[in-house]
Amino acid sequence: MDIKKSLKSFITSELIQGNNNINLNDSQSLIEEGIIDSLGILKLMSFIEDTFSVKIKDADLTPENFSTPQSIADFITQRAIHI
Amino acid sequence: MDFSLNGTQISMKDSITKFAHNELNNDLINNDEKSLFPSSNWKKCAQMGLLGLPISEDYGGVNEDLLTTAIAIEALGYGCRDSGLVHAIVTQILCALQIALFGNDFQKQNYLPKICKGEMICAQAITEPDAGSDALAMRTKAEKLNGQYVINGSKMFISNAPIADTVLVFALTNPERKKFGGISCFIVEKGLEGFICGKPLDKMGLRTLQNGELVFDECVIPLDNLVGVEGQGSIIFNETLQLERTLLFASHLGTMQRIIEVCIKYAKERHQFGQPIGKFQSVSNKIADMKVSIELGRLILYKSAWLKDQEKRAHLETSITKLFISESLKQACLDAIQIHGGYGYMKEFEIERDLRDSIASTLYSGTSEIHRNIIAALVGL
Repeated sequence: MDIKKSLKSFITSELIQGNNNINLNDSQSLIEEGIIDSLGILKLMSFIEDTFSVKIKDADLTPENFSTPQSIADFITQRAIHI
Repeated sequence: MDFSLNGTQISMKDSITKFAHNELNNDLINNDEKSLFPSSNWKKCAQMGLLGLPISEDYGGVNEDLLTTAIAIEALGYGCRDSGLVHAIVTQILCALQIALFGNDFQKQNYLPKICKGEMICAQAITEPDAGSDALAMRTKAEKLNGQYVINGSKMFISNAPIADTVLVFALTNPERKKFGGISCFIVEKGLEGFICGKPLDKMGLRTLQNGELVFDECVIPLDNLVGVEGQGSIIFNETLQLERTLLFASHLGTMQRIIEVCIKYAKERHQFGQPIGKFQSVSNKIADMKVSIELGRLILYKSAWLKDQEKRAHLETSITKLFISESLKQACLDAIQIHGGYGYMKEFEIERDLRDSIASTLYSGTSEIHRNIIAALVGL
């Protein structure tokens, strides 16, 4: 599964309402650009856990892990290795 | 699927119900009228181990899981008719959980034993005068200067604030990161220069619970007082809210159980037109609705607690729990007064106090309107 492609598809279709044609790049800051808000992060965490079968622990919940599509994909890959 | 409680849960429920009923219901009307915090009952609850129910034994807690803790708090809400005290206790437990989940080893060792013993009273400060439902739009700032944080701003309606020794304060550390990633959580102790606590606020209900305003004017705290990592505040806030919407509303479920029992007893004893009023459908239907709410509320409450015990996300379930139980409690209190007629309106019967207390449950921890918004968003709207 292409993690980044899947993530970007979810973010554009579920978290950016009305902007389905937006092209996210890997290093785009989801937080500072206001793409992910507090409710969006809840949806994203559930999506990651359900889709990639990874467990997000409380200590993992840092802005750094969720700042860009690349950092989220890196986090998922790292977590998947540890399963 | 097994809906039965285990032996520990049954015995804990029984013992807390008896303890609360026998030890915590003194001076209720007087304390309510004068807004007095029942310090002696707080100490009894600490001795009973209630303040550290879900905290590890390593730090002086009881080490129960969240479901068992919810069942224990439900019993407390049932047996104790002082909802303000119960709210203060749950606030204390939630502060302890935040430190247990996100604090470092030093913070856990330094604060948790005192919190579990009740020697240190805690509050969490999120809401501000201009940031209520939009809590993360807070303006209180914590700037890193010369190896310390300097906090400026104010917090409003903070439960336990006037009596708190320690406050978990949420403040902006990076305004450019907006709501997510720009907020951090700090431990601030009473007595620090620039940390001012206002007088207890005069409220409609929950009058034994002490709520107040906090002002931070160039309040300097060490870097070590940061909980978790910088920018993790909104995540701590979101995680804590799931616990709050489970544990606090477990107590309200217990309150509803007490109210229905009072109503059933009265509906059997009170005769009008030659028969018990419970024989009239206009009365019995109200009690039937209470029973439906209690049973459904308990199912979603226990599911929320179970999900958190499985370390799963439960934003949707805890939001439903909060919305359903708070609105059900308010309706049950209104119906209880209606069933009791003029007597229900009298302070002596204590139902009017339950109604006044219940109103706040539809406001704190997210208003009912906000929860409908959250639920709608989480189902994809």
